[in-house]
Amino acid sequence: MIPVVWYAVLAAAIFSIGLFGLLTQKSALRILISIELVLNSANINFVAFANHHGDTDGLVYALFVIALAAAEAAVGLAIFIHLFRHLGTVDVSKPKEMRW
Amino acid sequence: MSLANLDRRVHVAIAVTIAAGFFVLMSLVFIGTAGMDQQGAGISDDFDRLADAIFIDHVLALEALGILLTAAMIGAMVIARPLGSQPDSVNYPNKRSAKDLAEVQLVSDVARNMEGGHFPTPPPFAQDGGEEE
Repeated sequence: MIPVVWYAVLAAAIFSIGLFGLLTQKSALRILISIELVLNSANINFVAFANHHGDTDGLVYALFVIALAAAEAAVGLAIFIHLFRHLGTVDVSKPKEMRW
Repeated sequence: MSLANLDRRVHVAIAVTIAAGFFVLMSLVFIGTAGMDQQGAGISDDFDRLADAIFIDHVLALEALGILLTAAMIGAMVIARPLGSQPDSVNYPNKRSAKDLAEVQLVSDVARNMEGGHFPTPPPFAQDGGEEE
């Protein structure tokens, strides 16, 4: 069995990649993908530590995070569609007003 | 100089530094924590325990999650719905094409690279009442 520290380091690497994407990307889709990376790194930690402690609570929390990510992606993509209809782009540096 | 006016390479370098710093910090914490290198207890292939955890211990959270997903679905449909049968030019009079936005970006890039960063003319966004950076 793989020690839990490797899962934790993997999750840290994925979290760092997501953080890098959040800090550098301007495309809304890429930012959404970066957020998904951050959430999935949390999922890896939940499952790894649930396995480490022999407890199922971490698995349940991981399921909740997956559902939360689905809801966030649905609303985010809808906002991007709205943004594209208004501006013709999903570059997050373009919109300057909260409402039209 | 504001953060938005930073050169792209400087921006990326700062982001790499922050992300790598987080990674190193988290890795050191994980590796330095006692017991992390030991094998875990493991979870038995017992679906009863998982079902009990979801539908008994966390049933309230599960119901709240169902409401959240329903609300998110309805919200996404409301936000992204088409506004009638009229063309987009009627529903979205302020819509700019990708070409217009590229021109705006070009103007602001040129102005930013000029010595002193002086704008010869205001960008089209500012003419429409939008705020300048």
